[in-house]
Amino acid sequence: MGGNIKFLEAMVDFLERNVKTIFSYPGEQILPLYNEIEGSSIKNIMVRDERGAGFMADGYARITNYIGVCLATAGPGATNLTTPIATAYKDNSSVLAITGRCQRKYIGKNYFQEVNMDFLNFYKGYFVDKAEVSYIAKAFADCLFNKKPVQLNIPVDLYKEEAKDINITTYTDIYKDDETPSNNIKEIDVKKPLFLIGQGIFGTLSYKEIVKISKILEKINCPIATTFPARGVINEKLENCIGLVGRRGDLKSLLEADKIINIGSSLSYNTYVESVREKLLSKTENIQLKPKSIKELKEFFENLDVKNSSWIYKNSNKFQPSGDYSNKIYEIIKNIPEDAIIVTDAGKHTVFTCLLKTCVIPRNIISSHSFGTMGFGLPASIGVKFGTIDFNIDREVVLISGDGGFLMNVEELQVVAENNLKILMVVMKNNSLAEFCKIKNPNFNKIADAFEIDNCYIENVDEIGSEIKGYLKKNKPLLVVVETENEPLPKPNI
Amino acid sequence: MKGAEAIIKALEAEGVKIIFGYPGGAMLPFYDALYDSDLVHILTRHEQAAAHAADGFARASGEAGVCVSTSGPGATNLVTGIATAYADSSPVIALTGQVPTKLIGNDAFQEIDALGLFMPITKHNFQIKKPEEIPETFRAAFEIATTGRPGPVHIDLPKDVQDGEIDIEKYPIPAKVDLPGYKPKTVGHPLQIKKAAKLIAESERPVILAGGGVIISGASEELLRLAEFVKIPVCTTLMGKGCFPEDHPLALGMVGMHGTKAANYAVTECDVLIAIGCRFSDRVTGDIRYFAPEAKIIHIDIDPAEIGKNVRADIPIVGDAKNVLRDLLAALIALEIKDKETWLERIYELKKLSIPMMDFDDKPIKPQRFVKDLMEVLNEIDSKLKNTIITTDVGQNQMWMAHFFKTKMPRSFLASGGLGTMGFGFPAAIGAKVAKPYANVISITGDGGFLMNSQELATISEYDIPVVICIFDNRTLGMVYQWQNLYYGQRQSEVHLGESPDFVKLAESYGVKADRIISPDEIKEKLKEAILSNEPYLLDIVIDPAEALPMVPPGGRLTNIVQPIRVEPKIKKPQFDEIKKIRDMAAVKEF
Repeated sequence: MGGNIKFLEAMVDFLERNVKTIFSYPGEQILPLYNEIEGSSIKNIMVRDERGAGFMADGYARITNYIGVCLATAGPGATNLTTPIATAYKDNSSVLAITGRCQRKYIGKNYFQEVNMDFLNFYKGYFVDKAEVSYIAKAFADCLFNKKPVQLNIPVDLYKEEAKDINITTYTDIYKDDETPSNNIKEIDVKKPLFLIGQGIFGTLSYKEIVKISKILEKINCPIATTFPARGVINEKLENCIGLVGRRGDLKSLLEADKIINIGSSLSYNTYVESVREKLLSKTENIQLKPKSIKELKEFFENLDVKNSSWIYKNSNKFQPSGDYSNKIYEIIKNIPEDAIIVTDAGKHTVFTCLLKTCVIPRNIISSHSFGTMGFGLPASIGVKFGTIDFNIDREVVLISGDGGFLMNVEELQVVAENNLKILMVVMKNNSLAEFCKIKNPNFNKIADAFEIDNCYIENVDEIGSEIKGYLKKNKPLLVVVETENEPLPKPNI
Repeated sequence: MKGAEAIIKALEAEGVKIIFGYPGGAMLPFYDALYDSDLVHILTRHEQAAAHAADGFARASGEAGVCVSTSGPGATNLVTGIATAYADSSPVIALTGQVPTKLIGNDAFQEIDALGLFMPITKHNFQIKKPEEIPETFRAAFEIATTGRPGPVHIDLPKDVQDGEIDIEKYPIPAKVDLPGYKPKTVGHPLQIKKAAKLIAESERPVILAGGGVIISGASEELLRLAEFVKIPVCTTLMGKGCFPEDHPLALGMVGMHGTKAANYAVTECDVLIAIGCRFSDRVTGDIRYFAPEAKIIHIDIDPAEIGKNVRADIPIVGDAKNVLRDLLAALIALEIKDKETWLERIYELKKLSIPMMDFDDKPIKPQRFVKDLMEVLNEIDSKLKNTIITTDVGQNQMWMAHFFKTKMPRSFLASGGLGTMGFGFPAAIGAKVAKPYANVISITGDGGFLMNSQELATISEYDIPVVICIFDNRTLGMVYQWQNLYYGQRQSEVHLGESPDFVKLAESYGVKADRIISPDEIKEKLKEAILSNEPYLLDIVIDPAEALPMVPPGGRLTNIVQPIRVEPKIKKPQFDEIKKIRDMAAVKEF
């Protein structure tokens, strides 16, 4: 192509080809990019705090199994991304954080909002010091293929330089698969084999492919367990599905198995709890598998010979709701579609939701499972909603939050309101911060009024069904404040 | 004694009575011990607000402010607040919980490398591995945070350390800690001071540029005496506002990108610039080549790393501002001071040219009018502004206040300078009010900045902290809007904040009194009502979105003050139906 293309134009061109939505908050050091995106086909969602942008990108990435992109300026814009990027890192989520920087000559020189940017590189960061599109492609590839957040830090004076590598239009050109999959396993010849599936099984599959995995797994003639984020990869109603194992799930099956074949789990302490960790690790065989297509996954399992097909494990310890809190959570779960995407915050509501929900489809529950980030829920649910819109995922989005967590990013209700996002937002109001103290809560219904969002208040469990039915018929957000008594959690496996 | 109890004893020994925090699992032993102690814990609704409140406490009082969070997301939520404190040399002690020592590095639940995370944004950090280390570490932390150039210090506290036993008789809190390699220099070199005194005495057109270091040092009295003795005009940085009374005849106001004409011209024309406790950020200097181009520069700073970093120093003096100014004045008394009458005439002329028009009656309200009425109300209530503290947020609200509001006292104008953190103002006001409960604390914020930490309405409501919040409500990210109008061909990209939320309803939902100010003639009345109510109060001031301040373009000369272009906002915000239409029309592209 003729003429000189500026890096700014080349970058936005690359983004247009690979991104549909960006979550951002403007600031001085990103203004050129910000303005250019505004004139492009990319949908730019202005959040009300950079924290929100990071969590929205994370929620978007989790539901779509693609990259979620957030954009923040230098200094406090970037530091506000610390918690969301740390959360994405701990939970293996593909978030690309594009951050601003002052002109290169001012770096380290007391320039306004200048700060060392390495704090966002929990996994990796690129400081872009040359106007090469390949930087962006590499960042995309790293982010998507390694399922980790990546920072792309761009000094503001780079935008006007002449772009190089402008022939690069997508990230696949850059990616080289360093890891040779060592899938030597061909047959499993123990009496009691057990498959442990983690979210790594999603690889870089498209959403449409992810929902087809269950049909493959249901044919495996031995028990299949999942980690928390992988729940629903196999429908938990199926006979060979054990469901969740670990801290909040079953443990006996893991102990009883002769061999555990791990596909895609990082075997965190939540899955292999400390007391039995060594025992479980010693009989675990790890399969390196990062499927790029559903065909690859299908072939893997078809080529697997599972002998001794008679072992059936029955999980007999299903939690039953017993108190006010868990009964209300259960009532919510019963009244929403079974394939609804439930986003939770951090706290008691997350545990009860986890124990009571039968997951039938991938990403039935999205939580900050390894970091326990309070404040995650509301912005993540917004990102999930945009993900469903962009990828034509016909599922309801339901946020179940505690009162403390909901308040932490309450300003993002503005994004819900101005985009008329149909999200059912439930606040479990028990007026307490775990075991620490009672808290005085605001009137959540009036907060919703201030943002012009429909809302209702529930004290009795009987009211839940009709409110949800009414919500499902409409096409607008609803805040449901559920007054609830405190209830102790069942003891976890440790 | 348990480690957690030792921590509390250490805090109490440092004179700490109030801390700001948000509890969590890794900090459980500490919170359990806190229950039996006399320490007051103010629960914020987000850890970031706890950090900003501790920062506001520190800036208002001069003492260390303490914030507490749990591990993992609690710690990461402190990063913005601690980085803000670091950029502005504010002594904050940040305590973070951590997973048990044997799990550190094993990627446990809610684990993060807090030491690595905080290292670039703190003056120092510690990770305590044994309960026996607690007393000495805390003493060292407070010493480092509050001496030399103050700054935040982070202490990482693994859960088993909090739970562990310590024999407090064997490991008492030391009166003094030996910190090898840490010896801040507080007294200026006598020869340098003599040189500086001589230069000042012989100068014809001297100017003092006073930064935040003057306030931190407590050197306002010395500055006033120096300025009056030699008759040197004084301008300030944003962080230095309040160190010199701005109603003084020698006061020039703030210098820099959003500075006054008098200050910017005086600095450009001076022959000696006496820079005290400032770091010459780009917002102050503009184009370095034309910053004080004819001047010899005396740079007084306690941090030797700042001297000569951005601007050449002809006479560098490392030392605490209070000490150096006292010695400088003593040296000057012995010298014959050259007459500066011609220069002062020029200064007074420049000041006359800088007098802003503030008496507008327009609706929506001009920010100048609001600031004028605010000043009049505050001076009526407290004529010397001795018990008045203003906090600002970041954006146009900050610059309106910095430019127009005349301060009289140090530690009375709290703003996020170096990091420029939106959302800082409101929680910092909470900290300032806790530090100075008898002061009237006004949080000046924008609609964007306020929303970022609006959850703290729950904190002021729960503890009945009577902060007055004034929202400059123009439904616009004004600073970005102004930049877009000036430098991006008036393309207004994603800076309009929409009609909601209703801030009055929002405050009332938290149980905080609120009112809206639409007309100029109701400003004073409603301000008085809010301030004198001695209750938490929010005022939503409907501000003209098209009004902008003159500014020096980034990297430009201080004398090139560009007058604003008045551009009405162009609302361009598609509704969801429009978005759906676009999506329906576009072919869905598979990724």
